[in-house]
Amino acid sequence: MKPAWLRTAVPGFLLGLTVTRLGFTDYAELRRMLLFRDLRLLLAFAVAVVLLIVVFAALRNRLDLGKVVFHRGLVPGAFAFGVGWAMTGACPGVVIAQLGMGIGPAVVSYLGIVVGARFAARLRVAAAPVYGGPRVVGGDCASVD
Amino acid sequence: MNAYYWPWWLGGPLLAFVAVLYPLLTRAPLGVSGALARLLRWRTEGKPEPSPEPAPAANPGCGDRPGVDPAPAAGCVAGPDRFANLIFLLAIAAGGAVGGWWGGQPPVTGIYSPEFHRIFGSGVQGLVVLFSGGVLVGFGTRLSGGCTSGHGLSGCGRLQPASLVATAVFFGVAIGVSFLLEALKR
Repeated sequence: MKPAWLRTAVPGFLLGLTVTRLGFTDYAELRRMLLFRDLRLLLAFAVAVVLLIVVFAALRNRLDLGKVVFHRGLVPGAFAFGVGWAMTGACPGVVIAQLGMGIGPAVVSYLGIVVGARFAARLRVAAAPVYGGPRVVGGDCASVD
Repeated sequence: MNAYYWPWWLGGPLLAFVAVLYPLLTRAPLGVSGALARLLRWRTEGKPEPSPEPAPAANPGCGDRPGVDPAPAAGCVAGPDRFANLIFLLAIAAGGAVGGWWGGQPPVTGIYSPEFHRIFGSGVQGLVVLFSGGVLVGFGTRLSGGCTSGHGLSGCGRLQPASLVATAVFFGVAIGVSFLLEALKR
């Protein structure tokens, strides 16, 4: 696709639009999902994953995205993310969509994310793969994104 | 229950479409926390931090050295370059802006969410919670190596065991904390 910036602009725009119109940016909606009061968001996520399993399996010879490695930071990191997500409704994509929506206080959660990510980057030795990985120490290979 | 937001059968396939479109266009898995991290490294380009571990010659790092974008090591996938990352994040914000307008929401508001303020209060207290929650999200997603999009969509979609574990943990913990908050607030 030319120009090259469209390669990230198109999926980015669709992602921002979809999470916003689905209501992932709405803290009350997120809580309805996490308290099982409304399964709409949970169903949307589950449907997405099921479709992706089928599509990625079909594309496995054309699209090699590497392996996700078990590393020491995996579970503690996911734990911390879960706590923060339930407190604020902020997952990284959602906060950026909220900024686009003009939700002022999202600036504060965004700053928090930057500070936290910076801190984790300094500790990146903690993300060394425990086993199964192609790499020995640290690095973005331990990261799926 | 909710006619205001898109139904799951529309939003779910769209999320899947984005998570497939992104790697087809960039050859890297979709993941917002990773894109954010790559952008943060850009911001610190001027003063590279000392590396805590000696860089193994065989593993030059997947763009992990500040200011350097080396070729990916074997088994690693390089992300899009920094400009493309910036465009990605700006495009998410643009999508949010259009989505807010589509939903008839005010273009700018100082209210995060009535539900949030019911639980945590509205003044400084609410902002402190937002900031500390944000720190946990930023720290956790980087330490874990993925977020809802990276582990949850890209990783689970490829049936990667590590991503399935991470997703189960962050979803489970978020559910537990939500019920805890509800119990404390009742």
